Amino acid sequence: MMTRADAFVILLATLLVVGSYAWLWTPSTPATQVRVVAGDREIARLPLDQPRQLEVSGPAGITVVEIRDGAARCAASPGSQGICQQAGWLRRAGDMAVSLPNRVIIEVLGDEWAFDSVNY
Amino acid sequence: MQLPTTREDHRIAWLAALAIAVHILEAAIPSPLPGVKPGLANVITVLVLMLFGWRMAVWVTLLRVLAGSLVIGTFLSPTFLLSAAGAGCSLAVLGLAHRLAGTRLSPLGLCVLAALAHMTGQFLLAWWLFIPHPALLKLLPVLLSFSLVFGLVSGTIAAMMYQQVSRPS
Repeated sequence: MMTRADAFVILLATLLVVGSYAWLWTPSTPATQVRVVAGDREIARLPLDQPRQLEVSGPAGITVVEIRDGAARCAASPGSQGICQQAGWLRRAGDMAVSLPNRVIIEVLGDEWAFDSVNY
Repeated sequence: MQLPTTREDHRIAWLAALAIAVHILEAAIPSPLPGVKPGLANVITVLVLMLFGWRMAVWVTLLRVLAGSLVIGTFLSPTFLLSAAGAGCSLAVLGLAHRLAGTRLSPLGLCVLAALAHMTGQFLLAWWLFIPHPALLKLLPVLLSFSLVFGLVSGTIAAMMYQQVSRPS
């Protein structure tokens, strides 16, 4: 009942479906470096493949930036709600942790520039 | 008043009526995702294509989309536009495939092609017109998976019907 052309079409269709998953469901670019901004100045731009700890002082105290295993995070910050720490490990390009009280932004960047969020 | 009609007109009317009936019955089946349905009306389109040619398939399908939407009450609504975009895309692909492959492609292969083309057509329209958001693209692989499965199902049905219909009696 199934002809050779049918089999070819079905194979092609399956490849298309699998390919669409591979194409559209791949996670965004991994981050390669971290950018730390305090106030209105960028104070550091560090690669993510070297573990490091960085202390950034701001108007509210000291924010600790930790870099490990290709990711960065805000390990400690003086903000009372811990919003900066709750951002967790930042590993995909565009991920960001912000401490408003201490005016610190920790942002990881990839080789490709990415949106941090999109709204319509 | 009586309009002169040909045998072909009558045949188109009968087949379109059949396709509309399938279309409406199918509209009653609940769907897990918007845009996903079995596409059983495609069976009629593909069979008409195989038996009577592409021009007739276009007539039957356009009448089905138009009259089906009038009966269900979706005429000129987004649903209707999506349906029309899908049908147009699937007719174009079917015409091309039938011309290129002729009878080497059985109803099974044609139905799979039609299902994927229908989904792609309506997805592109939805993306362009209704939800121009990159996140909608995340839905495309899921929708294509559904259309592949339903294309295989409707294709099997169409192949079985074609064997019955085309058997010399």
